[in-house]
Amino acid sequence: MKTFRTVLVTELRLATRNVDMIVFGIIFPVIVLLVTGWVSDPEDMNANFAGIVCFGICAAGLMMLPLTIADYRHRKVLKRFRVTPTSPATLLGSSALAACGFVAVSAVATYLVARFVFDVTISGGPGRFVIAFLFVQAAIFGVGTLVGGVASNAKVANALAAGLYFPMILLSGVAVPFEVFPRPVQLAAQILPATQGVALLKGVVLGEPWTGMLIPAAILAVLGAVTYTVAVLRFRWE
Amino acid sequence: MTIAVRVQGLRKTYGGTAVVDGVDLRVGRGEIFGLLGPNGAGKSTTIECILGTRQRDAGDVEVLGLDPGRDRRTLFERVGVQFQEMGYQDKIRVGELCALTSSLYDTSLDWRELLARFGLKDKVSAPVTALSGGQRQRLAIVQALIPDPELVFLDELTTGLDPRARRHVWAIVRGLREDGKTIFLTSHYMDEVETLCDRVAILSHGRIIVEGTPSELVEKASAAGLEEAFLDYVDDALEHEGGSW
Repeated sequence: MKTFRTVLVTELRLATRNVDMIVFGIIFPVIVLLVTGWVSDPEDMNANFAGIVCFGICAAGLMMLPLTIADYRHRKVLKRFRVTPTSPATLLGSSALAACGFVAVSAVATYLVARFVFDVTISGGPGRFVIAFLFVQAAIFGVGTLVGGVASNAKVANALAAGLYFPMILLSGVAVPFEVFPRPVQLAAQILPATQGVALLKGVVLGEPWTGMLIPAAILAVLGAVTYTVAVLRFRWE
Repeated sequence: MTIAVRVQGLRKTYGGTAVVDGVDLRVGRGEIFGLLGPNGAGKSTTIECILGTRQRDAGDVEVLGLDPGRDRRTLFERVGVQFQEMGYQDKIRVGELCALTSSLYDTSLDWRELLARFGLKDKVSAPVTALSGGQRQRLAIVQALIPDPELVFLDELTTGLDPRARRHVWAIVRGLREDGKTIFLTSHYMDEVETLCDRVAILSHGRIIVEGTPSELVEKASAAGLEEAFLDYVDDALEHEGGSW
């Protein structure tokens, strides 16, 4: 527990020293929200807001998290950790939780702008939104942890992270509204966890009945559990 | 004498070539042991197999009575390791690195005291990247000592240091032995080995070619010093193999 806490605090401190993370994790989603709000119909803003929250989750979970872990492997930080009593579960768990802290800040900033600039309201209530948010985060972060945990080097991690991040940003309804895509693309995009995530968040924001959200929530929870477990079991120290 | 490290018949093969080919080693508790050998002799692989960070193909390894592969978490509460290159996070500060390392162990020494002992007290809030080569090397040793280990691995600990810094590190290593710690080191500097090591073994082509105290090795080779003796042993082994570089 002491290890977990110290790694977490150190990760958060290092993250605040990294300008990239602040720009891409926090400032960029807010800018996307502002641009979207400027170009789109005010009535669509509730739905757009859900997508942009998911955008923040993807930036931290699919880029920042795996690239940080891969960087530690590259810098031989993990090699040094290997000759100490710590475990992959502790290292991956604390890195993921640190990235969660970042996303939480990003989500709150996005919400405040959405609420006060664009009059967005979460019809399903804040409690359900937070729960949905955690489900989405579990899945996206699981995927990111898996990439970071098993990528053999920084190049592979970069390629995998980009190969997951960009399709999800473009096709899942994160930055581009899902409805603009032709039906076949929409169907294909169902396989992307971010698509399920946006569906879930959108459902809560628009106040849809919770029964329709059970399936995306279950898919996300299972994906999170499976990816995190595989990441811990197949973890590469070097 | 109780044994800290016992290696028997260690073998490691890469793509059909044996890099470590039947190595036997014994390091007694409280001893400073030096593993020597030219580049490519298999030193690093041997150490990695001893630490369990590389899977051995054959042989037995016992470190403080434990199997490093199976008992990793118990073993590394009691063993400190300094690698040739110390991995550290980008933008991390000296104090943060020490606090992080310290948090990995059940019990650990006060890292502030260790930093003071190694002349790094005023560097607590400095970024690790801002340290000089000698300071960074001392910081790497501090990392290895934080768990108050019974056994310390030091891999080429003075490579790249100026003469004064080297001597400072030597004094530290002697101090560790006085504290009763066992030290397993590698080095390319024979003056260093001569002053520090109680016992050495020379590795060539994955085999131990000779083993003993530094003075025994010099005597046996009828050489003027350990460096000359080292070169003689390594050249002899090469001729024996019938190989060339």
